Amino acid sequence: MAGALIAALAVAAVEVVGSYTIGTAWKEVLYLLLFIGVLVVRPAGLFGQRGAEALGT
Amino acid sequence: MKAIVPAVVFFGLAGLAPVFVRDAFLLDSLVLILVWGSAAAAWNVAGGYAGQISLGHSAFFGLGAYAAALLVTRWEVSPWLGLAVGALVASTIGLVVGYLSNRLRGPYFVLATIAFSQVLLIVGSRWRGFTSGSEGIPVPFRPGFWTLGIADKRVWVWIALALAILAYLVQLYLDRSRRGYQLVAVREDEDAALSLGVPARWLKVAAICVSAALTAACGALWAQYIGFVDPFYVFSVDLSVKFALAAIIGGLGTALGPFLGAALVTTVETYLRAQFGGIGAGFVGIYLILYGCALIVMVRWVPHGLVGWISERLRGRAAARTAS
Repeated sequence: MAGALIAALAVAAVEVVGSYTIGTAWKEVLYLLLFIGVLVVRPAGLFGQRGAEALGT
Repeated sequence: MKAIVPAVVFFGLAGLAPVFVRDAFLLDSLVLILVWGSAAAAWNVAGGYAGQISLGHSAFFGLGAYAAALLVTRWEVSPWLGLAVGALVASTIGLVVGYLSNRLRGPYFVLATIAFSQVLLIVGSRWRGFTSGSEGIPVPFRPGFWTLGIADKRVWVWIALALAILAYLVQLYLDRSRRGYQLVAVREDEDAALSLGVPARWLKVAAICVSAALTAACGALWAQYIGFVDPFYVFSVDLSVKFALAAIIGGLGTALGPFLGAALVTTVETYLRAQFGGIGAGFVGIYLILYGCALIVMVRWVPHGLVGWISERLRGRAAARTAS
């Protein structure tokens, strides 16, 4: 539950800072890339239980 | 031999139709059925045989469409070359996506593919300098076979048919080869397959690559046929759902299924559009509602798809005949 809270803030920060520095057109790309990046590095999520993704649940 | 008779009949009818049918509307529907059927078959290679359910296949379709359209408009090369380049680019990206998402299973993989197609949608619609942004790209019409400027819809039917047969043969290979059986083993139980020495990781990546290349080829041909590439259509989730839906309705992991599913979905969609989609009719998106209902009905009552349902019926009749 804390994970969802922290990640929500992280996504919002990426979106806002990104649209300020790079341009509003690209803000969705930034958080989608963040999402893909997290899935690649830690498939269960930043605070998820490791191995949960392998069960597909 | 007996197993491919329905496919020979299906493709034979599609190939002969242009000889007898002159109606442009029917021929247009046939081209679309074959193109969507090929795309659904390409999806089936990854989603049906390998079990890598993706809702981001419009990414590959759009890459193919953009590759062909951009090469034609910016560098004036042949769209056939654009098709090859699109397939190459898509399979390279399929390699990367497949490799990166290899650890992901189930909903995680689906989400990653949706995110990926959305990234491409935004790049396609915002990178104005290269893709001309959300206005899309009109593909110029230059007469000739080499430039794919073909006004005769009958020729388009045969071109689309060639692609459809290619996609069918890829699936037939998976139906009959050692690689195909290994892929199905990975789909059914990846851990068990791994423990038996099946190279699950590379098989999944290879399936996604082949699937991406075929989808891109469909995209390239579609762009040349329609003559316009719109980022919000070619990269849309709707389109990914359409591929998946046609394959699921037809029968996951069956070679002819995606084509039957696409025939059904495309016919119903074109009919509903013609019937309710006119100006002021107010039912423009009604086929999307139907997609949803069809998916619910299929998953609930006909889980093996049309092909599974038909072969069950046939088997039931044969059993009744031997019993009597």
